[in-house]
Amino acid sequence: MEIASCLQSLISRQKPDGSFIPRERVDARPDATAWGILGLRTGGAETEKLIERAREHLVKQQLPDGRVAVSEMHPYACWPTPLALLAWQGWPAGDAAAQKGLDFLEHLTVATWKVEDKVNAIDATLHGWSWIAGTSCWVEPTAMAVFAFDRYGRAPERMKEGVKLLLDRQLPHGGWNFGNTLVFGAELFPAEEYIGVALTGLAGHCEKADVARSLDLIEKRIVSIRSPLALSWGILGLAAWGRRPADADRWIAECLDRQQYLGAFDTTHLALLLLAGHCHDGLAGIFTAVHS
Amino acid sequence: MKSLPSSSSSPISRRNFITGIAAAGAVAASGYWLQRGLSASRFKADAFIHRVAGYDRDLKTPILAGLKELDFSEKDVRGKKILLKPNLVEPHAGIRHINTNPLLIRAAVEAFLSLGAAQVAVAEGPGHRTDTVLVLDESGLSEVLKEDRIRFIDLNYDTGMIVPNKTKFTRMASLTLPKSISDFDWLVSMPKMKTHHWVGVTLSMKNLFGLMPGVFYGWPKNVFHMCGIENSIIDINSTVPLELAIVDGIVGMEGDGPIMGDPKNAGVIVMGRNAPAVDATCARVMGIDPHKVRYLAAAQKLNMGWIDEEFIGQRGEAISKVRTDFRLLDKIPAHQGLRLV
Repeated sequence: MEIASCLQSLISRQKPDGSFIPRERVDARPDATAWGILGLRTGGAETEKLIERAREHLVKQQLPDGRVAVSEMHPYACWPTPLALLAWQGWPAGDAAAQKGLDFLEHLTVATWKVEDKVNAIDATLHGWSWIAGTSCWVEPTAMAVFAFDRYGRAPERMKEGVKLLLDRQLPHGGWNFGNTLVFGAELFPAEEYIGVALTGLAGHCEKADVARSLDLIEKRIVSIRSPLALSWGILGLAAWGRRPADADRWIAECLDRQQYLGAFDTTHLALLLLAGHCHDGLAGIFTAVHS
Repeated sequence: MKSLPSSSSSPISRRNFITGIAAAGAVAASGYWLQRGLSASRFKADAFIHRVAGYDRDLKTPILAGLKELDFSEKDVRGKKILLKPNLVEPHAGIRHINTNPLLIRAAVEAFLSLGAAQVAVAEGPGHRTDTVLVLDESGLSEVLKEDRIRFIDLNYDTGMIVPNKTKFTRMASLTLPKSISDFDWLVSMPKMKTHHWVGVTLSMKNLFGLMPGVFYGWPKNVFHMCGIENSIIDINSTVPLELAIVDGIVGMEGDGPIMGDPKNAGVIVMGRNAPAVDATCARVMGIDPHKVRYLAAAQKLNMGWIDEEFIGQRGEAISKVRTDFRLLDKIPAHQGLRLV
């Protein structure tokens, strides 16, 4: 499947109200809408109206305190908030919503503990971001929040702590997983999708030497990966550090072809594969100007 | 969610676990599907053990034998839509003792279809990975699904179905289950036989963590860790109707399970309708006293099933013939005192 037809598949997921469904016969969800918007940004002028409608819909999903949750019935599941911020970036009409979202993220309560966590070997005092309000901090939501603050040119102390957390959760032999490093003295396994997300969040916030092992690791592992999230995040993570693989476009096409027997990929997967094909300098490349 | 711990709470709170057992009262359910949760079949506490030397052997015949021993007739299975829930928490290429073996999953699909099941599908919401396609690839399951045209449902991204939490040990008033499971008549838990560094063992009851959608509970389903893993096991199992458990104990995991442990050749498949009874039998096979596993002891106290050996009808091989002690580690508090004397 060509990347161009991937854009058409993505467009077909948009409902008349502007929202995106994650896949056929599933209700629309804000995270799918946000990723749909970012994916559509690869389409240039022809998708502008679709993006506008989706952004307006996403604003309506925002709760009064600034969060964007997975559903009205699940306000604690606020992890789509940084995604919504990215979807509104560069859109003056979304200024107020974005500011509320940024404020919400800056003050989101998460679970930390002061006692040194010897079992998990992590610095549990650090405030990053959680998938679910009030629970522990993990790699992906932290990286996405850091990345979102960056796109708005805001760098609160909380964001800097988020960067520290990401570095703290890097595995000794390189890479990241969901967010634990050693448990009972055993180093856990890395996971490609989180490596790419973390590298995306950390780009511009640490030295290359700080993530060198992780870059080497994902570069080696991505060669054999043809699953949508791990592949797209792996490519985007490497690209953010100037190491986009030469064969990336071929791998993306091979991955898209797998839909013939796996069934259609989720909206998020399609959007990320589009972005991985389009953004040769990493995900930041889709945001042409910093929105002030 | 009724009450999530505050920002100062400990990562694993077990404080409410024991008091919760005493406080658990009437169970309120709504709708036919939920009513099945504590159906009579839960109290048929038979457990079937079959020796299997390896995954290269005939795996379908032992499953059919188990179904017969457990009084499943062809009439029971005919026309049923059956959902298999294996354990695919975090696969890694070349490490086959973390997850339920795909060949056992294939055998279960074939067994149910041969008895006339209308549909057999596989579903999982991996606890540690967001890329479920990669999970299927690295576990070896994608090949089986492709070859046999078996439907797979990614539960992590499913539409939510909010249901009352029957026991509320987690203090959550409701649970959000994946809506897709309500399309099926039977849910079958297909765990790997493993030690677990937080709760002692992970078997058919703990395996149901993987039902809970990541979009609502995060990765690694952290809400349930915060509310206490044992509390969560009880709440999920009391709320979700399970028809059968088929445990992959052909090669299990000992030591630092559920991910970093070592392979253990136990050479058995264990089956049963009642999850606590099946898990208690597995524990004994592993040389672990089920009464020392807190959530199993709680399950019996809550009348969710039997773990006392005298109340479990043992079918197939005797436990004493297949017992092989799984290594427990001194450095892991949850392993202390578990050994079956």
